[in-house]
Amino acid sequence: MTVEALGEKTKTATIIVNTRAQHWSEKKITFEQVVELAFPGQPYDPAGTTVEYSRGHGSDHALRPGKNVEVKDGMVFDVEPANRS
Amino acid sequence: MSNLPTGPDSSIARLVADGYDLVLRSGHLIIRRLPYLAPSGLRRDGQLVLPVTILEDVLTDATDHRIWFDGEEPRDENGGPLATPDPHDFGVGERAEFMMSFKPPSGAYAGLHDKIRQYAHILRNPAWQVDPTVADITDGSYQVVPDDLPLVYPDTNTTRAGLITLNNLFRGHTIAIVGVGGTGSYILDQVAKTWVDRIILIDGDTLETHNAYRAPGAVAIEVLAAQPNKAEYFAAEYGRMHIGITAHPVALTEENLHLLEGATFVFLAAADAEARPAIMRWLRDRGVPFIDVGMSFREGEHGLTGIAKVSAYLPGEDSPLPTAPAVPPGEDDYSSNIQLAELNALNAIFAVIRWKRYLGFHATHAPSNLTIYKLFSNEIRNGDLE
Repeated sequence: MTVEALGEKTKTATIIVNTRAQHWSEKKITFEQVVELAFPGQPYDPAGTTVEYSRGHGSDHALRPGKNVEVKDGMVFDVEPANRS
Repeated sequence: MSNLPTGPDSSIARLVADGYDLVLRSGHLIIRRLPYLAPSGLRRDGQLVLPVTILEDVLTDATDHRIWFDGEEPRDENGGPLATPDPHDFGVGERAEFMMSFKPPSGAYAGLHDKIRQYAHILRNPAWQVDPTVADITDGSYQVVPDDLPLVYPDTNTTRAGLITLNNLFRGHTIAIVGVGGTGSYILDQVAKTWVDRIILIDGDTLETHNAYRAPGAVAIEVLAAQPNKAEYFAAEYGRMHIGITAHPVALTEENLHLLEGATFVFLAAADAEARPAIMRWLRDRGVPFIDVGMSFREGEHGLTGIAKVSAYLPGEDSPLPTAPAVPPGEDDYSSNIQLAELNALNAIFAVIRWKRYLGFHATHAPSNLTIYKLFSNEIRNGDLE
C-alpha cells in the first residue's frame, strides 16, 4: 500500500444512508456502492432506483447509475425505488 | 352547469322594488347603470360588483363592508376619490378596477339591501351635483346568468378570491388520472375542485379497508363491505361536486390505451403498472403532457424515511422515458409497501402544483420537471429528468 493510499484510508467519513450512519474511507462513492450500503446483497433494478444526496460538496443532486460523487463527512443519502402511488 | 337560484331572495326582491338593475353572474351580484361622478367632472354610469355566496336560493355577501366598482375612478363632490385601485375579476375578461370601503357607523351593513343602497347613494350624490337630471331609478330588474361550469354548485371560492381569469385556464381540459389509490385519489381531490371540463378515472382495483386510510374523506363501512371499484367509488364521491367525471373500472394496459383519448393532461399514479413505459410512449407520441408520481417509505432509525417524487413529461422536452416498469410486480426486493395518507397527499399536491404551473396558473421561477421530497432531511429538491 502506498503512502498516498494510506493517507486516504485514514480519512474516514461518516455518511448517513437511509437514516443509518455508515463509515466510508474512500474519497468518492458510486451509485452502486450507496445502494449496497442501503440494501446489502439485494438485487435491484438500477433504472428504477433513485439515489439522492444532501449535504455533500455543492448543491444537492441525484446520483445516477455508473456515476460517483465526492464524499463529505455528514453527507446524507436516500435510496428508494420511489415506485408507489 | 352549476345550480343557480331560480327566484330572487328577499334582499334581491327589495332591491328590484327600489329600481336597481341586478345581474347574478359568475358568483357575483352586479348592480348596473349606477350614476357616479367621473374624474372628467361629468356624470357617468358604472356598476357595483359584489362577490356573493349562493346556497340554494339564498344570496349572502361573501365579503365584509367592502364592494368593488367597475367604471372610471368615482369622485366625491370635491373631486376627491371615493375608491382605491384594487382590481377584482368578476367574469371572463371582466375586471372591476376599484374597491370602495365605507363602514357604516354601526360597523356593519344590515344586509345586502342596506349595503348596496348605501353604496349606490355614495356614488349617486356627487353625480347629482353636476347633473340634476340624475333621477331615482324606477325600472328594477334581476337576471340570473347561468354559468356553464362543470360543477354542481357555484364556485364562490374563485369569485371571492377574484381569480376567474386564472381559473379559465382549466376550461376545455380533460384530465385523466390513471390509478386512484393513495396518491391518485388526492390528485382527484384537487382536480375535482377546478374548472376542467372532464376527468377520466381509470383503476381496476377494489376499494379496500386499507385504501380508506389513505384516501381523502371518510369511507363508510357499508361502502367498504360492498367492495366497489375504486374508479367508480371516487367518481360517485366527487360527482357530488364535479359533473364531468367518467370512471373506467379496468387497469390501463397496452390494449385499452384508447381510454386516454381526448385527455389533455394525464396523471400516472398506478403503482407497479406494468404498462407504464408503454403508456408513457403512447402519450409522448401524441404530445400529451403527463406527470408520473412515485414514492417509497420504509422504517429507518427513529422513524420512517424515504422520498416522494413527481416527474413531469411535457411536450417539447425529450427527457428519457423509463424502458421497464419501476420494479416488476411481485419482485419488489425492498418488500416494504409503506404508504401513508400525508405522504400520498403531499406527493399528490406536488403533482397538482406542477400541473397548475404548466398551465400558467402558478407563476414559476424554477421550471424543473422533477420534484423530490426527502422525508429524513425534510427537504424539497428541484431537478431535471436525466
